[in-house]
Amino acid sequence: MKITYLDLKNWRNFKAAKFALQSRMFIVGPNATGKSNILDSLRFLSEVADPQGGLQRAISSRRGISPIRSLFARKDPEVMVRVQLEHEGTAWDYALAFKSGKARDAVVVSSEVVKKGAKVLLSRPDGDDDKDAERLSQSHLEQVTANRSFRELATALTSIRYLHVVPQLVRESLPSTGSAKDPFGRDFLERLASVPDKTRKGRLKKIEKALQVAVPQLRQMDLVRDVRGTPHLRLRYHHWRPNAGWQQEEQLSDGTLRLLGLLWALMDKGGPLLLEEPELSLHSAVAAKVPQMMARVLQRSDRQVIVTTHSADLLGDEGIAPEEILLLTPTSDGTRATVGADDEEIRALMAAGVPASTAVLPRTAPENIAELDTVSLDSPG
Amino acid sequence: MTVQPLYIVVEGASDVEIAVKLARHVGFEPRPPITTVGSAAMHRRLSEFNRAAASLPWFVLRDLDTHSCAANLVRELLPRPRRLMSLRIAVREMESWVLADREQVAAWLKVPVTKVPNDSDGLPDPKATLINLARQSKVRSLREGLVPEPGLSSTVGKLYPSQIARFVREAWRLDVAVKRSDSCRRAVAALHALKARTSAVAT
Repeated sequence: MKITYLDLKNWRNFKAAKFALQSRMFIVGPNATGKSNILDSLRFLSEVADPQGGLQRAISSRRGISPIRSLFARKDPEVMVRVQLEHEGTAWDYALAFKSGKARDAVVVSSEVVKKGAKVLLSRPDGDDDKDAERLSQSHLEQVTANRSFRELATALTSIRYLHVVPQLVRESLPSTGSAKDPFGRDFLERLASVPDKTRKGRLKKIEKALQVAVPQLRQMDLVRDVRGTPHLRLRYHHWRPNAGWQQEEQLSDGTLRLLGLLWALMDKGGPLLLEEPELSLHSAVAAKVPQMMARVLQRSDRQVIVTTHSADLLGDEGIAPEEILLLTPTSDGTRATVGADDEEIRALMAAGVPASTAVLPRTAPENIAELDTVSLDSPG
Repeated sequence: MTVQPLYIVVEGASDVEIAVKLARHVGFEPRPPITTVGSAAMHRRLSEFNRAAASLPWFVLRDLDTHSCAANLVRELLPRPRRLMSLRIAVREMESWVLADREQVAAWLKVPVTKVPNDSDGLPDPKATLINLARQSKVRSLREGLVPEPGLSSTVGKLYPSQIARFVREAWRLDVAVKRSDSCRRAVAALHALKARTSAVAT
């Protein structure tokens, strides 16, 4: 499944943003312009499409509609997320718009449209909604009885995966939250353990090899369960003491855990993979290799990978095309999202063989950055 | 004999393996190369590398690109090189050195050797030549990796850096390349000279 187009209205930082997406996409922009919010719009649709989730739950897990609705939304109170995607040779178009309902924090669907190719399969509100307004509290996407003609679309959307391994949470290794999609690594080890033995061993062997490049003193790695059945990662290092024991995840460095999470996610099967700043905690030389790893995954499985990044090392890869860059810029009317290929300067620079880091990153640095050198850091009083 | 470390600076990831091969060839132990990502960034940091070359050997490798003369470009970029600095320019791009090993390039891409140009240093755009050869490759993974995908306006394919690096590491022959590319031969000679200067400083 590949998301080919995204259209957002009043979604967080974006009053209006429309752009095409490639199989590999790098979202760049200054701090707080909404890089993560683009990933969140896709997670949102994925949660709406989940029969155990649905629209109301996706809204309440984001603390209601007010934090979602853009501050730049003025007369038009409606929030809309629309995607176009290709799934097994079929083009789909799905748009969901909603606004505040009467009950506190609840929302109502203001429109929902499903197209398969050029054919409109659903267009709400319809006659049934007019008769029973209560129906507008749910999307048809989330209802197995209502989505029969576009079940494939719903299934495809639920296959979207988001990953942002937070090493502290992996180390705490709390018992599973019960959610199958905890993205922060709380149940990362549970997820590793849930894969069939043979597959897991094969993958861990490959990860071990890749990790040994970044962490040369690493010797061996595996997954074991303790007496209570909780899975633990064990790693053994070359050490001056020949019989130095195994170390468990709580002793692993941030970088080791992040890289492990990244490699596992890239090897995993499934729908589009959304990654939050994969460069975090990695050595710059390792971060610089991330785009090549993504490209290799694409060549093998055609799995779409969308990342947010600030990293010059990562964007220095000369194989990155201007179509694969989404540049976010703050304006007085919300964040503007521009595909690199649609920006004349970026296009010209990259056509001359300049890497994306040089062509794009200067456009994402704050204009008054020099003031950080002189801003007072004295504590008042 | 003690190992002599060599600090290496290149413009892009696809040049790393070539620089490493050259360094090993003349008996240096290369440190993991610094990739500046583009010539502009390299230019900005050149004086920093040059300062460092007062005490340890540095090998900086860049492409001539559209400049007319390598010797002039070196003088312009670095009028006063330190004793252990060697700045070398590939004519026109490192890809011409890669193409100079015609037989291995042909075997790698599975194209007839007659399709690989004879005078790679004379090519106006060696990178484009290499990519056009890849277009005719019988190996699908190389065709898909080296050639830009339809719909994307990049100059190289997504896997270009890692596939070139792998070829250079595993198959490219420096001893053959120096015979066909004068630019490559002179870079090796310059490295030999740097090695001699480094030994002289050390003793």
